Amino acid sequence: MGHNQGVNIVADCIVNSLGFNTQEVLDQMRAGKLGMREVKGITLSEPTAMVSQIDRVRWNQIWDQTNDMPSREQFTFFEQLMIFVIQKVVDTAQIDPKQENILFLFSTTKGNIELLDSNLKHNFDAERVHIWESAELVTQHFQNSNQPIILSNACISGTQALVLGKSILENQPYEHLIVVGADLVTPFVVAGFQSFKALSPTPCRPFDLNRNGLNIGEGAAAVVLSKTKKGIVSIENGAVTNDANHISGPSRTGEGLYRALTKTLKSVDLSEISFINAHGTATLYNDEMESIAFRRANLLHLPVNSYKGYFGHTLGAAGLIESILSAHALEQGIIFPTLGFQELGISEPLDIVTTERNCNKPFALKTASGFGGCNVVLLIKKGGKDA
Amino acid sequence: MRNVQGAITIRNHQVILQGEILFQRDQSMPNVQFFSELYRELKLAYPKFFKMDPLAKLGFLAAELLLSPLSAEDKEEMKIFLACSHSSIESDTMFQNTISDESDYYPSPSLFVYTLPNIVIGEIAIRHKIYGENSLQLTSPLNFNSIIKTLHKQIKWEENRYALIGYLDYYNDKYEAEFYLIHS
Repeated sequence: MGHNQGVNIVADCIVNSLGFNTQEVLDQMRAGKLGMREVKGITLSEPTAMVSQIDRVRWNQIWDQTNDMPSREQFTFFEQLMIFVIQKVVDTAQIDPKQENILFLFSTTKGNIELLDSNLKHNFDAERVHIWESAELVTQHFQNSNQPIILSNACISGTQALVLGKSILENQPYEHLIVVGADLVTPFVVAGFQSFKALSPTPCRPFDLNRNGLNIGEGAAAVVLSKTKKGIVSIENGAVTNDANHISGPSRTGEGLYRALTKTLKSVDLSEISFINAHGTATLYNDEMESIAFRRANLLHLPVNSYKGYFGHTLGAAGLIESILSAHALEQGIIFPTLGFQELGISEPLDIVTTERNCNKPFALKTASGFGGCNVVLLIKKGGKDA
Repeated sequence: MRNVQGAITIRNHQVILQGEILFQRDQSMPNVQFFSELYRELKLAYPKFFKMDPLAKLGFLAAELLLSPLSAEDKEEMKIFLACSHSSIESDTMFQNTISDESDYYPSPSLFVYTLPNIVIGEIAIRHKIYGENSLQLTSPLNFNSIIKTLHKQIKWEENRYALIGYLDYYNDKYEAEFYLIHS
């Protein structure tokens, strides 16, 4: 496709500990609300964990009050979340998900991993632990017959899905993409991060001097990406790289993130960027690595925030949820503060946002990094492009 | 597919590189032993190999054979697009077994890290110093025939660049890998 129409986010929906749609999450964030709670007995080794969970009782009520939803019992919680957010965005965008020119793109790290636990009583086929099974069930529910794309590239998956989505729409004959991200708080994931000693027992503090780890969160989000409809933002550019350094530790020099920033910002006027929404997990090494990469890319003048202090690290959904929130912040001309941050605790003098700011510059950057050494940078632009 | 410069398959204890059988062992041999014997045949001095889970070993070996003729410059900005079906289920199951029982509870970070399917890409990137775009996608085993073409279509080509595209899977003691080296 030679004509440059732009790829726009035309509808979005987030479900996480702060709300059951994007507006609720935005309102709670502006009110400075915190989604993390101390929860007992998630794993056998630690009495409690600080996690960001969706209220299941409220969830069941909301599902049952929503028109045209299938019976809840047919689907796992992971699948329910995806079906719910997809239904919301196809309704908002007024598209018919059955159409041949619509493709589904999923991003998740662990899907229905709970089904591996033989102590857990459930009625689902064990095969549902395979993510393609879940993804195909969801696309079948929406009667879409295209083979879905499923990204599972650790914690960059959600942001990478938007970068890949733009490329697919520009180069393949689809008109709209439904991009979905979801991951859950499970004993599996919590035990894993506990074994890494990467979890904070208190609400996490991105970029802070006293940060001591992340909080696991759960959530789901969907967007409709379109090359024919106008939206609140357009996907302008993006890049994915690898550190080629370590499978679980971030690069000391921020090499992969630096390279992704350089590629993404090749032809962008840096004074036109409103803010960077960083990965900002609040682990010692991640936040330090990001500060080095931002300095190397000459971005120390830009305001930086992280949303992990509001609702934790939602893993494969994180990048999608945070990109949507950044899109709305950009559209409304605000920059969110970094909840949990008090005192700079990284080696580079980043401008960490501590109270809500106003800014009407047209661009924002979203970054993420993950296990396996992967990094992603996404550039979005306010207003979308004329279709 | 356009611009294929190399192809390798590893399945049924047989390695086929550029259409020719390079290495094989009796199918009764345990998989991990087969991977170790192939590693020794290649005379690699890379002890990290033995820490990898079977999925990562499989991808590492397939990449090693395809990428060894390339220069550091060829590899630096290479793209790696891989797909698998059963994700990291082998390591997932092992990790689950370490956290299910209070009297036998021993989760380890070195196992947990392999409960992500894209770690194989990290291992290949570290070995060959590859900093380029990378993507791990999941697909039904029934979609095996079309996934490599799907990955190929997703690549945005830049001049004089290489890409490693492939499918690999490890599940229930069965494995397979089919990788291609593409040059733009």
